[in-house]
Amino acid sequence: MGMLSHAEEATPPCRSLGEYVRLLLREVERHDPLARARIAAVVGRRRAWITLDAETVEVSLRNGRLSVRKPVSRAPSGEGRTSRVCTLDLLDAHIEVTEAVLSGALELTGSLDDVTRMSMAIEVLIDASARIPAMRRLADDFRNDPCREAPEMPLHLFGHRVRLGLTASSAAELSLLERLGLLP
Amino acid sequence: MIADALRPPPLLDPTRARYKDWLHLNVFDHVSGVAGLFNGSLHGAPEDDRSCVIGAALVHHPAQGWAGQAHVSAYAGAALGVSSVALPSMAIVVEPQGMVRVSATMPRDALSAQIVARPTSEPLNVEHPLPFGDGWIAWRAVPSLSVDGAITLGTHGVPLALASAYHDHNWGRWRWGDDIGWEWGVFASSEGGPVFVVSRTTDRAHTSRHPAQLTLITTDDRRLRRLYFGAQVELGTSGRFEQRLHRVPGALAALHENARRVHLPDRVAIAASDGWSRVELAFVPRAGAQLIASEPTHRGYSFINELVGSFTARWSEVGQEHEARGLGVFEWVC
Repeated sequence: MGMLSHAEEATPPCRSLGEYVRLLLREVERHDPLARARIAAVVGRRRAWITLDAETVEVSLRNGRLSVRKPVSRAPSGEGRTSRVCTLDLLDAHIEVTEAVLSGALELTGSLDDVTRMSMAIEVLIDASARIPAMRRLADDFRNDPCREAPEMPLHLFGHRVRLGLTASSAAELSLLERLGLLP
Repeated sequence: MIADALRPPPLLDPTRARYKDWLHLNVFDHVSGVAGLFNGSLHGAPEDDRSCVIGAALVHHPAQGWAGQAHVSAYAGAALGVSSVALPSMAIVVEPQGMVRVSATMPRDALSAQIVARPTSEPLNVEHPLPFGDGWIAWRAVPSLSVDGAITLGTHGVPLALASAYHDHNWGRWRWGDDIGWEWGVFASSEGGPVFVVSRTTDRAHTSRHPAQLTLITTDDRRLRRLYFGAQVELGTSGRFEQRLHRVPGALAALHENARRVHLPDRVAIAASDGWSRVELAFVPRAGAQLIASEPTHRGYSFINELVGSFTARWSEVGQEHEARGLGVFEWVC
Protein backbone atom coordinates (compact mmCIF):
# COMPACT_ATOMS: atom_id res chain seq x y z
CA MET A 1 0.00 0.00 0.00
CA GLY A 2 1.45 3.31 -1.01
CA MET A 3 2.14 6.12 1.36
CA LEU A 4 -0.59 8.68 1.60
CA SER A 5 0.19 12.13 2.82
CA HIS A 6 -1.67 13.74 5.68
CA ALA A 7 -4.41 16.05 4.55
CA GLU A 8 -3.60 19.66 5.18
CA GLU A 9 -5.38 20.83 8.28
CA ALA A 10 -6.62 24.28 7.27
CA THR A 11 -8.34 26.53 9.78
CA PRO A 12 -12.07 26.19 9.20
CA PRO A 13 -14.22 29.29 8.62
CA CYS A 14 -16.39 30.92 11.25
CA ARG A 15 -19.92 29.61 10.81
CA SER A 16 -23.23 30.37 12.43
CA LEU A 17 -25.54 27.67 13.77
CA GLY A 18 -27.78 28.21 10.76
CA GLU A 19 -24.88 27.62 8.39
CA TYR A 20 -23.96 24.35 10.14
CA VAL A 21 -27.56 23.14 9.95
CA ARG A 22 -27.79 24.02 6.23
CA LEU A 23 -24.47 22.31 5.46
CA LEU A 24 -25.42 19.16 7.38
CA LEU A 25 -28.66 18.80 5.46
CA ARG A 26 -26.95 19.66 2.18
CA GLU A 27 -24.38 16.89 2.65
CA VAL A 28 -27.09 14.39 3.51
CA GLU A 29 -29.02 15.39 0.39
CA ARG A 30 -25.91 15.11 -1.77
CA HIS A 31 -24.61 11.79 -0.47
CA ASP A 32 -27.64 9.97 0.90
CA PRO A 33 -30.88 11.16 -0.71
CA LEU A 34 -32.80 8.33 0.93
CA ALA A 35 -31.78 9.56 4.38
CA ARG A 36 -32.84 13.08 3.38
CA ALA A 37 -36.21 11.69 2.28
CA ARG A 38 -36.57 9.84 5.58
CA ILE A 39 -35.96 13.04 7.51
CA ALA A 40 -38.54 14.87 5.40
CA ALA A 41 -41.06 12.09 5.96
CA VAL A 42 -40.45 12.07 9.71
CA VAL A 43 -40.74 15.82 10.31
CA GLY A 44 -43.47 16.56 7.78
CA ARG A 45 -44.66 20.16 8.06
CA ARG A 46 -43.36 20.68 11.57
CA ARG A 47 -41.13 23.62 12.54
CA ALA A 48 -38.44 23.19 15.18
CA TRP A 49 -36.42 25.76 17.06
CA ILE A 50 -32.86 24.66 17.58
CA THR A 51 -30.84 26.50 20.21
CA LEU A 52 -27.11 26.21 20.73
CA ASP A 53 -26.04 28.44 23.62
CA ALA A 54 -27.24 31.93 22.58
CA GLU A 55 -28.04 31.09 18.94
CA THR A 56 -31.50 29.95 17.87
CA VAL A 57 -32.73 29.03 14.41
CA GLU A 58 -36.04 27.78 13.12
CA VAL A 59 -35.75 24.72 10.89
CA SER A 60 -38.43 23.24 8.66
CA LEU A 61 -38.76 21.28 5.46
CA ARG A 62 -41.59 23.05 3.63
CA ASN A 63 -42.67 20.94 0.66
CA GLY A 64 -39.39 19.10 1.07
CA ARG A 65 -37.30 22.30 0.82
CA LEU A 66 -35.06 23.17 3.73
CA SER A 67 -35.75 26.46 5.49
CA VAL A 68 -33.37 27.73 8.18
CA ARG A 69 -34.21 31.20 9.49
CA LYS A 70 -34.54 33.33 12.58
CA PRO A 71 -37.39 32.16 14.78
CA VAL A 72 -40.71 33.81 14.18
CA SER A 73 -43.01 34.65 17.03
CA ARG A 74 -45.38 31.75 16.37
CA ALA A 75 -44.59 28.83 18.68
CA PRO A 76 -42.72 25.94 17.02
CA SER A 77 -43.82 22.31 16.94
CA GLY A 78 -40.89 21.45 19.17
CA GLU A 79 -37.65 22.82 20.49
CA GLY A 80 -34.18 21.37 20.96
CA ARG A 81 -31.75 23.16 23.22
CA THR A 82 -28.14 22.35 24.06
CA SER A 83 -24.68 23.89 24.29
CA ARG A 84 -21.39 23.68 22.44
CA VAL A 85 -19.82 22.06 25.50
CA CYS A 86 -22.50 19.37 25.61
CA THR A 87 -22.28 18.76 21.87
CA LEU A 88 -18.52 18.25 22.03
CA ASP A 89 -18.84 16.08 25.13
CA LEU A 90 -21.30 13.86 23.26
CA LEU A 91 -19.02 13.68 20.20
CA ASP A 92 -16.08 12.80 22.45
CA ALA A 93 -18.02 10.19 24.43
CA HIS A 94 -17.44 12.08 27.68
CA ILE A 95 -21.14 11.83 28.36
CA GLU A 96 -23.96 9.75 26.92
CA VAL A 97 -27.30 11.04 25.68
CA THR A 98 -29.17 9.80 28.75
CA GLU A 99 -26.81 11.72 31.03
CA ALA A 100 -27.11 14.84 28.89
CA VAL A 101 -30.90 14.73 29.09
CA LEU A 102 -31.02 13.93 32.80
CA SER A 103 -28.56 16.69 33.63
CA GLY A 104 -30.49 19.25 31.61
CA ALA A 105 -27.61 19.77 29.18
CA LEU A 106 -29.80 18.55 26.33
CA GLU A 107 -33.48 19.44 26.21
CA LEU A 108 -36.12 18.41 23.73
CA THR A 109 -39.53 19.94 24.36
CA GLY A 110 -42.87 19.59 22.63
CA SER A 111 -45.63 17.03 22.46
CA LEU A 112 -44.62 13.39 22.73
CA ASP A 113 -45.07 12.95 18.99
CA ASP A 114 -43.04 16.07 18.16
CA VAL A 115 -40.19 15.10 20.49
CA THR A 116 -40.16 11.56 19.10
CA ARG A 117 -39.96 12.89 15.55
CA MET A 118 -37.15 15.29 16.42
CA SER A 119 -35.22 12.40 17.96
CA MET A 120 -35.81 10.26 14.87
CA ALA A 121 -34.59 13.01 12.54
CA ILE A 122 -31.42 13.39 14.64
CA GLU A 123 -30.87 9.61 14.55
CA VAL A 124 -31.15 9.54 10.76
CA LEU A 125 -28.62 12.39 10.58
CA ILE A 126 -26.11 10.64 12.84
CA ASP A 127 -26.59 7.31 11.06
CA ALA A 128 -25.94 8.97 7.68
CA SER A 129 -22.85 10.72 9.04
CA ALA A 130 -21.20 7.32 9.60
CA ARG A 131 -21.05 6.92 5.81
CA ILE A 132 -20.54 10.57 4.77
CA PRO A 133 -16.99 11.82 5.41
CA ALA A 134 -18.06 15.41 4.65
CA MET A 135 -20.31 15.34 7.71
CA ARG A 136 -17.42 14.15 9.89
CA ARG A 137 -15.39 17.06 8.52
CA LEU A 138 -18.20 19.42 9.50
CA ALA A 139 -18.01 18.06 13.03
CA ASP A 140 -14.26 18.75 13.00
CA ASP A 141 -14.92 22.26 11.66
CA PHE A 142 -17.38 22.88 14.47
CA ARG A 143 -14.84 21.70 17.03
CA ASN A 144 -12.15 23.97 15.57
CA ASP A 145 -14.38 26.91 14.59
CA PRO A 146 -12.16 29.95 15.34
CA CYS A 147 -15.14 32.07 16.37
CA ARG A 148 -16.22 29.61 19.04
CA GLU A 149 -14.58 28.80 22.34
CA ALA A 150 -11.90 26.13 22.26
CA PRO A 151 -13.04 22.75 23.62
CA GLU A 152 -12.62 22.52 27.37
CA MET A 153 -10.10 20.12 28.80
CA PRO A 154 -11.52 17.40 31.01
CA LEU A 155 -11.92 18.61 34.58
CA HIS A 156 -11.28 15.16 35.95
CA LEU A 157 -8.14 13.21 35.34
CA PHE A 158 -10.10 10.41 33.70
CA GLY A 159 -13.63 9.57 32.94
CA HIS A 160 -16.57 11.82 32.77
CA ARG A 161 -16.46 15.56 33.01
CA VAL A 162 -20.13 16.22 33.51
CA ARG A 163 -21.41 15.52 36.97
CA LEU A 164 -25.03 14.57 36.97
CA GLY A 165 -27.45 17.11 38.29
CA LEU A 166 -30.57 15.09 37.80
CA THR A 167 -33.51 17.22 36.78
CA ALA A 168 -36.17 14.59 37.22
CA SER A 169 -38.92 16.28 39.17
CA SER A 170 -39.80 13.56 41.64
CA ALA A 171 -38.70 10.34 43.27
CA ALA A 172 -41.46 8.62 41.30
CA GLU A 173 -39.97 9.84 38.05
CA LEU A 174 -36.52 8.62 39.04
CA SER A 175 -38.01 5.29 40.08
CA LEU A 176 -39.71 4.96 36.72
CA LEU A 177 -36.50 5.78 34.83
CA GLU A 178 -34.59 3.24 36.89
CA ARG A 179 -37.20 0.54 36.30
CA LEU A 180 -37.03 1.15 32.57
CA GLY A 181 -33.25 0.92 32.65
CA LEU A 182 -32.86 4.53 31.54
CA LEU A 183 -30.63 5.76 34.32
CA PRO A 184 -26.90 5.75 33.53
CA MET B 1 13.40 -11.11 9.81
CA ILE B 2 9.64 -11.15 10.35
CA ALA B 3 7.80 -10.18 7.21
CA ASP B 4 4.36 -8.72 7.68
CA ALA B 5 2.39 -6.13 5.78
CA LEU B 6 -1.07 -4.67 5.49
CA ARG B 7 -3.05 -6.67 2.94
CA PRO B 8 -4.88 -4.20 0.66
CA PRO B 9 -7.22 -5.89 -1.82
CA PRO B 10 -6.09 -6.54 -5.40
CA LEU B 11 -7.57 -4.09 -7.92
CA LEU B 12 -9.82 -6.69 -9.53
CA ASP B 13 -11.00 -8.19 -6.25
CA PRO B 14 -14.82 -8.05 -6.44
CA THR B 15 -15.03 -8.08 -2.64
CA ARG B 16 -12.71 -5.11 -2.10
CA ALA B 17 -15.54 -2.97 -0.67
CA ARG B 18 -15.58 -5.32 2.32
CA TYR B 19 -11.84 -5.01 2.96
CA LYS B 20 -10.80 -4.84 6.63
CA ASP B 21 -7.29 -4.72 8.01
CA TRP B 22 -5.79 -3.72 11.34
CA LEU B 23 -2.71 -3.67 13.52
CA HIS B 24 -3.26 -4.13 17.22
CA LEU B 25 -1.25 -3.97 20.43
CA ASN B 26 -2.32 -4.81 23.98
CA VAL B 27 -0.14 -3.63 26.85
CA PHE B 28 -0.35 -4.95 30.41
CA ASP B 29 1.51 -3.20 33.20
CA HIS B 30 1.72 -5.72 36.00
CA VAL B 31 2.87 -3.10 38.53
CA SER B 32 0.05 -0.55 38.21
CA GLY B 33 -2.56 -2.90 36.76
CA VAL B 34 -2.97 -0.65 33.73
CA ALA B 35 -4.24 -2.36 30.58
CA GLY B 36 -4.04 -0.64 27.21
CA LEU B 37 -5.49 -1.33 23.78
CA PHE B 38 -4.07 0.35 20.68
CA ASN B 39 -5.49 -0.32 17.24
CA GLY B 40 -5.10 1.20 13.79
CA SER B 41 -7.67 -0.15 11.33
CA LEU B 42 -8.77 0.21 7.70
CA HIS B 43 -12.38 -0.25 6.60
CA GLY B 44 -13.38 -0.43 2.94
CA ALA B 45 -11.74 -0.16 -0.46
CA PRO B 46 -8.88 2.37 -0.45
CA GLU B 47 -10.19 4.27 -3.50
CA ASP B 48 -13.68 4.79 -2.04
CA ASP B 49 -14.10 8.21 -0.39
CA ARG B 50 -16.51 6.68 2.11
CA SER B 51 -13.93 4.21 3.42
CA CYS B 52 -12.35 5.09 6.71
CA VAL B 53 -9.37 4.66 8.99
CA ILE B 54 -9.89 4.38 12.74
CA GLY B 55 -7.20 5.01 15.33
CA ALA B 56 -8.21 3.77 18.76
CA ALA B 57 -6.26 4.10 22.00
CA LEU B 58 -8.05 3.02 25.17
CA VAL B 59 -6.32 2.58 28.50
CA HIS B 60 -7.84 1.44 31.77
CA HIS B 61 -6.39 2.30 35.17
CA PRO B 62 -7.74 0.14 38.02
CA ALA B 63 -8.49 3.14 40.25
CA GLN B 64 -9.13 5.95 37.78
CA GLY B 65 -11.04 4.31 34.95
CA TRP B 66 -10.78 4.76 31.21
CA ALA B 67 -8.84 7.28 29.19
CA GLY B 68 -8.56 7.49 25.43
CA GLN B 69 -10.64 7.74 22.31
CA ALA B 70 -11.30 6.38 18.81
CA HIS B 71 -10.77 8.83 15.96
CA VAL B 72 -12.29 8.22 12.53
CA SER B 73 -10.77 9.64 9.37
CA ALA B 74 -10.97 9.24 5.60
CA TYR B 75 -8.02 7.41 4.03
CA ALA B 76 -6.83 10.81 2.78
CA GLY B 77 -6.40 11.95 6.37
CA ALA B 78 -4.13 9.02 7.29
CA ALA B 79 -0.59 7.98 6.48
CA LEU B 80 -0.40 4.31 5.55
CA GLY B 81 2.82 2.41 5.09
CA VAL B 82 3.69 -1.18 4.27
CA SER B 83 2.92 -2.12 7.83
CA SER B 84 1.80 1.05 9.56
CA VAL B 85 -1.34 3.06 10.18
CA ALA B 86 -0.99 6.66 11.33
CA LEU B 87 -3.50 9.34 12.19
CA PRO B 88 -2.60 12.67 13.79
CA SER B 89 -3.69 11.36 17.20
CA MET B 90 -2.55 7.74 17.04
CA ALA B 91 -0.07 5.63 15.07
CA ILE B 92 1.04 2.00 15.09
CA VAL B 93 4.01 0.69 13.13
CA VAL B 94 5.28 -2.89 12.80
CA GLU B 95 8.91 -2.85 11.75
CA PRO B 96 10.50 -5.56 9.56
CA GLN B 97 12.23 -7.15 12.57
CA GLY B 98 8.90 -7.40 14.35
CA MET B 99 9.26 -4.44 16.70
CA VAL B 100 5.94 -2.66 17.28
CA ARG B 101 5.88 1.08 17.93
CA VAL B 102 2.80 2.93 19.14
CA SER B 103 2.25 6.63 19.64
CA ALA B 104 -0.93 8.23 20.97
CA THR B 105 -1.59 11.92 21.64
CA MET B 106 -5.09 12.55 22.93
CA PRO B 107 -4.91 15.44 25.41
CA ARG B 108 -8.68 16.02 25.55
CA ASP B 109 -9.05 12.37 26.47
CA ALA B 110 -6.33 12.40 29.13
CA LEU B 111 -4.04 10.02 27.25
CA SER B 112 -0.63 10.05 25.67
CA ALA B 113 1.60 7.05 25.04
CA GLN B 114 4.95 6.23 23.50
CA ILE B 115 5.54 2.50 23.38
CA VAL B 116 8.15 0.23 21.84
CA ALA B 117 7.41 -3.50 22.03
CA ARG B 118 9.92 -6.20 21.08
CA PRO B 119 8.90 -9.81 20.34
CA THR B 120 9.84 -12.39 22.96
CA SER B 121 7.97 -15.21 21.23
CA GLU B 122 7.66 -16.55 17.74
CA PRO B 123 4.60 -15.44 15.74
CA LEU B 124 1.41 -17.44 15.71
CA ASN B 125 0.14 -17.64 12.12
CA VAL B 126 -3.43 -18.30 11.10
CA GLU B 127 -2.90 -16.79 7.68
CA HIS B 128 -5.17 -19.15 5.80
CA PRO B 129 -8.59 -17.48 5.55
CA LEU B 130 -11.24 -18.73 7.94
CA PRO B 131 -14.91 -18.49 6.89
CA PHE B 132 -16.49 -15.47 8.55
CA GLY B 133 -20.06 -14.46 7.74
CA ASP B 134 -20.25 -14.05 3.97
CA GLY B 135 -16.51 -13.47 3.84
CA TRP B 136 -13.36 -14.53 5.61
CA ILE B 137 -10.86 -13.50 8.25
CA ALA B 138 -7.16 -14.21 8.68
CA TRP B 139 -4.75 -13.22 11.38
CA ARG B 140 -1.25 -13.32 12.62
CA ALA B 141 -0.17 -12.75 16.21
CA VAL B 142 2.95 -12.25 18.26
CA PRO B 143 1.70 -13.38 21.68
CA SER B 144 4.49 -12.02 23.83
CA LEU B 145 6.53 -8.83 23.61
CA SER B 146 8.63 -6.91 26.08
CA VAL B 147 7.84 -3.22 26.46
CA ASP B 148 9.68 0.07 26.80
CA GLY B 149 8.11 3.50 27.05
CA ALA B 150 5.38 5.09 29.10
CA ILE B 151 1.71 5.86 29.15
CA THR B 152 0.57 9.17 30.61
CA LEU B 153 -2.96 9.36 32.01
CA GLY B 154 -3.78 12.98 32.65
CA THR B 155 -0.63 14.06 34.44
CA HIS B 156 0.07 10.62 35.87
CA GLY B 157 2.91 8.74 34.18
CA VAL B 158 2.87 4.95 34.03
CA PRO B 159 6.33 3.53 33.26
CA LEU B 160 6.19 0.31 31.31
CA ALA B 161 9.55 -1.30 32.03
CA LEU B 162 7.89 -4.28 33.76
CA ALA B 163 4.95 -4.47 31.34
CA SER B 164 4.30 -7.10 28.71
CA ALA B 165 2.44 -6.87 25.42
CA TYR B 166 0.58 -8.82 22.77
CA HIS B 167 0.38 -7.89 19.08
CA ASP B 168 -1.81 -9.09 16.27
CA HIS B 169 -2.67 -8.26 12.70
CA ASN B 170 -6.12 -9.14 11.34
CA TRP B 171 -7.43 -8.79 7.80
CA GLY B 172 -10.23 -10.11 5.64
CA ARG B 173 -13.51 -9.34 3.95
CA TRP B 174 -16.73 -8.85 5.86
CA ARG B 175 -19.29 -6.20 6.63
CA TRP B 176 -19.89 -4.79 10.07
CA GLY B 177 -23.46 -5.42 11.06
CA ASP B 178 -23.68 -8.81 9.35
CA ASP B 179 -24.43 -11.93 11.33
CA ILE B 180 -20.87 -12.18 12.64
CA GLY B 181 -19.10 -12.13 15.97
CA TRP B 182 -16.12 -13.50 17.80
CA GLU B 183 -14.74 -14.19 21.24
CA TRP B 184 -11.05 -13.65 21.72
CA GLY B 185 -8.83 -13.21 24.74
CA VAL B 186 -5.23 -12.74 25.68
CA PHE B 187 -4.03 -13.39 29.22
CA ALA B 188 -0.51 -12.29 30.12
CA SER B 189 1.11 -13.59 33.29
CA SER B 190 3.12 -11.30 35.51
CA GLU B 191 6.85 -11.80 36.02
CA GLY B 192 7.46 -13.21 32.57
CA GLY B 193 5.15 -16.18 32.94
CA PRO B 194 3.19 -17.75 30.12
CA VAL B 195 0.72 -16.09 27.78
CA PHE B 196 -2.60 -17.68 26.87
CA VAL B 197 -4.48 -16.76 23.67
CA VAL B 198 -7.99 -18.04 23.02
CA SER B 199 -10.29 -17.37 20.09
CA ARG B 200 -13.34 -18.55 18.23
CA THR B 201 -15.70 -17.06 15.66
CA THR B 202 -19.42 -16.91 16.34
CA ASP B 203 -22.63 -15.57 14.94
CA ARG B 204 -23.84 -12.18 16.13
CA ALA B 205 -25.95 -13.61 18.95
CA HIS B 206 -23.12 -15.93 20.07
CA THR B 207 -25.52 -18.85 19.94
CA SER B 208 -23.61 -20.52 17.12
CA ARG B 209 -19.99 -20.84 18.21
CA HIS B 210 -17.26 -22.40 16.14
CA PRO B 211 -14.64 -24.54 17.88
CA ALA B 212 -12.22 -22.57 20.00
CA GLN B 213 -8.46 -22.58 19.86
CA LEU B 214 -6.19 -22.03 22.85
CA THR B 215 -2.48 -21.38 22.61
CA LEU B 216 -0.17 -21.51 25.59
CA ILE B 217 3.15 -19.77 25.07
CA THR B 218 6.02 -19.78 27.45
CA THR B 219 8.54 -17.05 26.94
CA ASP B 220 11.64 -18.80 28.23
CA ASP B 221 12.48 -20.52 24.95
CA ARG B 222 10.52 -18.23 22.57
CA ARG B 223 8.65 -21.23 21.15
CA LEU B 224 5.00 -22.13 21.12
CA ARG B 225 4.42 -24.51 23.94
CA ARG B 226 0.99 -26.01 23.35
CA LEU B 227 -1.85 -25.62 20.90
CA TYR B 228 -5.28 -26.91 21.84
CA PHE B 229 -8.16 -26.90 19.39
CA GLY B 230 -11.55 -28.34 18.62
CA ALA B 231 -12.88 -30.74 21.22
CA GLN B 232 -9.77 -30.22 23.34
CA VAL B 233 -10.95 -26.75 24.38
CA GLU B 234 -13.94 -25.64 26.41
CA LEU B 235 -14.47 -21.88 26.45
CA GLY B 236 -17.27 -20.99 28.83
CA THR B 237 -18.79 -17.61 29.60
CA SER B 238 -21.29 -16.91 32.36
CA GLY B 239 -22.98 -14.18 34.34
CA ARG B 240 -23.67 -10.65 33.22
CA PHE B 241 -21.20 -7.80 33.30
CA GLU B 242 -23.18 -4.88 34.73
CA GLN B 243 -20.68 -2.06 34.87
CA ARG B 244 -20.93 0.96 32.65
CA LEU B 245 -19.02 0.67 29.37
CA HIS B 246 -16.73 3.40 28.04
CA ARG B 247 -18.19 3.75 24.52
CA VAL B 248 -16.55 5.32 21.49
CA PRO B 249 -16.89 7.09 19.08
CA GLY B 250 -19.34 9.40 20.85
CA ALA B 251 -21.65 10.04 17.89
CA LEU B 252 -22.22 6.33 17.32
CA ALA B 253 -22.63 5.75 21.06
CA ALA B 254 -25.41 8.37 20.96
CA LEU B 255 -27.00 6.59 18.00
CA HIS B 256 -26.92 3.22 19.75
CA GLU B 257 -28.03 4.04 23.28
CA ASN B 258 -29.49 0.56 23.67
CA ALA B 259 -26.10 -1.08 23.06
CA ARG B 260 -24.76 0.26 26.35
CA ARG B 261 -26.54 -2.64 28.01
CA VAL B 262 -25.31 -5.35 25.68
CA HIS B 263 -25.15 -8.75 27.40
CA LEU B 264 -21.50 -9.42 28.27
CA PRO B 265 -20.16 -12.14 30.57
CA ASP B 266 -18.70 -11.37 33.99
CA ARG B 267 -16.74 -14.60 34.10
CA VAL B 268 -14.74 -16.54 31.52
CA ALA B 269 -13.56 -20.09 32.15
CA ILE B 270 -11.28 -22.02 29.85
CA ALA B 271 -10.39 -25.68 30.17
CA ALA B 272 -8.19 -27.52 27.68
CA SER B 273 -6.55 -30.91 27.55
CA ASP B 274 -4.79 -32.86 24.83
CA GLY B 275 -4.17 -35.96 26.90
CA TRP B 276 -0.61 -34.93 27.71
CA SER B 277 -1.18 -31.59 29.31
CA ARG B 278 -4.04 -29.63 30.80
CA VAL B 279 -4.94 -25.95 31.27
CA GLU B 280 -7.56 -24.33 33.47
CA LEU B 281 -7.94 -20.57 33.35
CA ALA B 282 -10.45 -18.23 35.03
CA PHE B 283 -10.81 -14.58 34.01
CA VAL B 284 -12.83 -11.93 35.86
CA PRO B 285 -13.34 -8.57 34.12
CA ARG B 286 -13.09 -5.34 36.11
CA ALA B 287 -14.06 -2.82 33.38
CA GLY B 288 -15.32 -2.67 29.84
CA ALA B 289 -15.16 -0.50 26.75
CA GLN B 290 -17.14 -0.64 23.55
CA LEU B 291 -15.82 0.37 20.14
CA ILE B 292 -18.67 0.81 17.67
CA ALA B 293 -17.67 -0.07 14.11
CA SER B 294 -19.78 1.16 11.19
CA GLU B 295 -19.69 -0.22 7.67
CA PRO B 296 -18.62 2.65 5.40
CA THR B 297 -20.77 1.81 2.38
CA HIS B 298 -23.63 -0.06 3.94
CA ARG B 299 -25.92 0.60 6.87
CA GLY B 300 -24.51 -1.77 9.46
CA TYR B 301 -22.86 -1.64 12.87
CA SER B 302 -20.97 -4.06 15.06
CA PHE B 303 -20.00 -3.67 18.70
CA ILE B 304 -16.47 -4.58 19.74
CA ASN B 305 -16.59 -4.98 23.50
CA GLU B 306 -13.32 -5.09 25.40
CA LEU B 307 -13.34 -6.48 28.94
CA VAL B 308 -10.16 -5.94 30.95
CA GLY B 309 -9.43 -7.75 34.19
CA SER B 310 -7.33 -10.35 35.92
CA PHE B 311 -6.94 -14.10 35.60
CA THR B 312 -5.57 -17.11 37.38
CA ALA B 313 -4.42 -20.24 35.59
CA ARG B 314 -3.16 -23.71 36.39
CA TRP B 315 -1.62 -26.08 33.92
CA SER B 316 0.07 -29.40 34.15
CA GLU B 317 2.51 -31.13 31.89
CA VAL B 318 4.20 -34.47 32.34
CA GLY B 319 3.07 -34.55 35.91
CA GLN B 320 4.35 -31.07 36.76
CA GLU B 321 1.87 -28.53 38.04
CA HIS B 322 2.23 -24.80 37.33
CA GLU B 323 0.30 -21.72 38.34
CA ALA B 324 0.11 -18.22 36.93
CA ARG B 325 -1.83 -15.01 37.39
CA GLY B 326 -1.86 -11.73 35.62
CA LEU B 327 -3.87 -9.34 33.47
CA GLY B 328 -6.01 -10.04 30.46
CA VAL B 329 -8.44 -8.75 27.86
CA PHE B 330 -11.48 -10.64 26.64
CA GLU B 331 -13.11 -9.32 23.48
CA TRP B 332 -16.73 -9.99 22.63
CA VAL B 333 -17.87 -8.82 19.22
CA CYS B 334 -21.56 -8.74 18.34
